[in-house]
Amino acid sequence: MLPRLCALLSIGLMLLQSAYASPLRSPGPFSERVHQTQIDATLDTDTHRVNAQMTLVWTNTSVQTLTNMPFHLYLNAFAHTQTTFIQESNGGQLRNDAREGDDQDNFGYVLVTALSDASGNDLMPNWKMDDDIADLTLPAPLAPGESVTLNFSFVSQLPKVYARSGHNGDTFNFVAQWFPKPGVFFNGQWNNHRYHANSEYFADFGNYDVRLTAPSEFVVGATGVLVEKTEQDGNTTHHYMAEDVHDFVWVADSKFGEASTEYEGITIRLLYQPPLDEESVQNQLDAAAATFRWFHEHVGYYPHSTMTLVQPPEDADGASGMEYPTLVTTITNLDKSPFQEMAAMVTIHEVGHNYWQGIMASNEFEESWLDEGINSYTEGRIMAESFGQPYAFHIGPLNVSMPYGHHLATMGARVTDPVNTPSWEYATTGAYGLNSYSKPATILATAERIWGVEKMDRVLKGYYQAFAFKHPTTQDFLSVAATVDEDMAKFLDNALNTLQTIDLRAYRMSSDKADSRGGFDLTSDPANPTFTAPEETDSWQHSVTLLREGELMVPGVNVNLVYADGHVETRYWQMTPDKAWEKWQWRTDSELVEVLVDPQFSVLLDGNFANNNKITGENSKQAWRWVQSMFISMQSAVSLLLAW
Amino acid sequence: MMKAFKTVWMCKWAALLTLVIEWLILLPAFVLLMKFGNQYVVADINATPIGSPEFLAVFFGAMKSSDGFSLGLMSFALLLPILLLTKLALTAGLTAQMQTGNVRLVGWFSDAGRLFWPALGLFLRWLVVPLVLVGMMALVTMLLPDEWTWVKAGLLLFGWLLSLSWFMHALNINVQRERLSLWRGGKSLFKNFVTVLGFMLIFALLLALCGGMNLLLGEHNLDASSGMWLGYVFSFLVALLVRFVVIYWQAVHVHWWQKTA
Ligand SMILES: [Zn+2]
Repeated sequence: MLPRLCALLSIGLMLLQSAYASPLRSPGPFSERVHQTQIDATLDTDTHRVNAQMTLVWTNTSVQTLTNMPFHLYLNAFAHTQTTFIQESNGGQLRNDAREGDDQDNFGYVLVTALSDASGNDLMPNWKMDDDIADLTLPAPLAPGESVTLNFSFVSQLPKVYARSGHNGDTFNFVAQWFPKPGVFFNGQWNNHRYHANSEYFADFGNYDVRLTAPSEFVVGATGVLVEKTEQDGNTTHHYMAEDVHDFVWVADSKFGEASTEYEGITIRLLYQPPLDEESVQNQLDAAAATFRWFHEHVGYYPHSTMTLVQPPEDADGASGMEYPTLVTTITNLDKSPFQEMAAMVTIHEVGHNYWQGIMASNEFEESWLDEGINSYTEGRIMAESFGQPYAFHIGPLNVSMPYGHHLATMGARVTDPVNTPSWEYATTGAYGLNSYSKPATILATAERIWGVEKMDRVLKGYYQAFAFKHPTTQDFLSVAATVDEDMAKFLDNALNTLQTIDLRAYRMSSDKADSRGGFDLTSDPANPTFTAPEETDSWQHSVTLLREGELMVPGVNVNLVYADGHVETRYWQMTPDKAWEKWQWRTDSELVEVLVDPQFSVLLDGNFANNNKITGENSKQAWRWVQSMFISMQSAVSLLLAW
Repeated sequence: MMKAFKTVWMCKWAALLTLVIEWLILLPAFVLLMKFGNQYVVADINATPIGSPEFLAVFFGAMKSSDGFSLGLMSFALLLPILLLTKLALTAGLTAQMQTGNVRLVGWFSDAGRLFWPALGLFLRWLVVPLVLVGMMALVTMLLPDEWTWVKAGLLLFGWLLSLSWFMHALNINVQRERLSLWRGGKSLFKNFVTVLGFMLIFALLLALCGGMNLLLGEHNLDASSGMWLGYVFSFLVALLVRFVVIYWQAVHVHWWQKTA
């Protein structure tokens, strides 16, 4: 009986599964599911306006009784010229895009038109809106474990897109940060920052059950999985479900082309701008699959069953390169290039964010490096280890791999803030960018090279296992690192939380013919000590001084000592915190011609690689070769090009 | 063509002198770049050869951290216009001397001075020619399938060489101080089109040869085990070869002019 019952049950389950696509690849819940959000939204594609009803069931998972509940109204950041976002972003500029002018369609808003509780009591008098945030006084105190049900009617007017959300004035509608979104009750208080120019978001996990209605000729993509599609009067309603996600976005464009592939139960769907050749389409799907392959191997499980890649049209650049749970936007140009991998790299970056943000959901307002920094680091490894293309840029023998790209951006940059700084408190937008992306990526790459990739993998895996779906902080990341290697954790702590820097140098070097011992022989006849003049011997006396500038410590690095006879000796320079220098003196039979500190470039955080070596003798002319070659090729290029 | 070789031989001292003048003009940039070299030998070339992932990082790093290096590159950019103008004057002067059939250094310099402004005027007007010809070729390449990279490059090179030949035809008329030199240069170019095409093929091969030798030289110079002085000697010889190829191109154009004049 039992086996038969099991068989029947599993057939039933299979039928259920095929009838109802599941948003998860394996049964949840994976998160606390603080809210259940149900939305019924209709997009007017002419006015780019969304009319919606939303039922939010929010559970107090804290240990405190709550009397109010703050909300984000992100789209109101685009409502007028005095909002925090527009003021901080120099009138509306983000990344490479900017507000196109003062016409009405460059502005947007989200307005709550009606709000009631489960019994239908009007809560509008309790709703206090202040530009892009709002505060709701709860109808009754909400005790721990209790839930409150709120019914919203709201209108979202999309702006012309220049900062993630909006339309292109034509058929492309990217509907993000579009509904009233509760803040996060975190560490004993509400966390509900305004929409800042240099900042992304922070939200609680929950389930979404959303019906999206748009004209039938529009292709729709959204967070989660499509469970049903119904058509009525030329409009189609797309029913999407998402579980254990902290945001819901959707996109509608009548011009999208579609392609998809499967990777271990994840449906990867690409919505692109035709025409796009087959190779470029495949490149995108491959990039996404390579990302999942790497994360499954090195970090952890992706619980969702979908990943949608959206290519914005060229005139919607502001929407490009952005991550949302189970849906990301690529760059606008997806053509596979023979010499640069930007199209794949950005996709790998954004899909990677489904871990460092999607699954971890740390506070992007306050600790942006936890998403962008870790992601910039892993993106380089995915390119090299899983996608099979380590270079972001490569022409002939010239190339830039990701770690060196980040090193270049970091070296010599002014140190104004610690990496771990709230996003609106950096000295400049440039400092936000440096400290959110390239510098933390370089810090992690340095740790990987010093302590080994195996330890770094243990940190990433441990971080995922301990903190997935739990809003971890920098401290949580460091605590995991400390369980792997105390020294590494200390290095990471200093590199991330202080202004400490490091610059290793080959400071002094000499290599001279050694003399034999000469002079008075003090043990000989005291009345008339014998004297022998020192003589030159065949051996060489070397002296090398190495210098560590800056307070940041690493345990040590290798130093290559190159001798005139071609022999290369590698010595380890063990560093100590209380001494910035190291001096070596020794003798060999061959002249020392070069000292090269850190020949493997393991300390990518080194502020200047150009001072890492010293060369003497014949080899000091090495540099002339560069100059000579460069100079002569430039000069003959001019002659050859003009034939005069 | 033998006649052209004779003319080239007549210009041997001019070739050498042109090279010396060019290098003198660029000397400040060279000195600054060498200063960079001795102070900051970016990590060992052996450790970061061209093509290694570190190469560009170290190269840009050196630029960022060494004033000598960036000053050297900047001064090269500043000296480049002076170099171009000087070369233009010397070319105009040499063309005038070749036309007389007797190249004298004093005559060459005085012709260079005398003909500088007219030649510059011609050069500025001529800029339209490559704009149109290379532009047309670029349009044609857009119609070709993606894989035909070599055909595309060939077409663009063809447009450029044709423009250069046009300039030489016009320069021969220009140094005679005759009017409408650009227009008449173009006319004589298309009158001799087949001959020009044939010669352009030879010239393109010579250019490729020079380019290849420059690359070989660059590789040799970057190889730490190669001798420094040998590098200088070969650099000089290759630069001289380039100069002779360029003078050969000029001489052939002078002979075409003599035939039609
Ligand atoms: Zn990012």
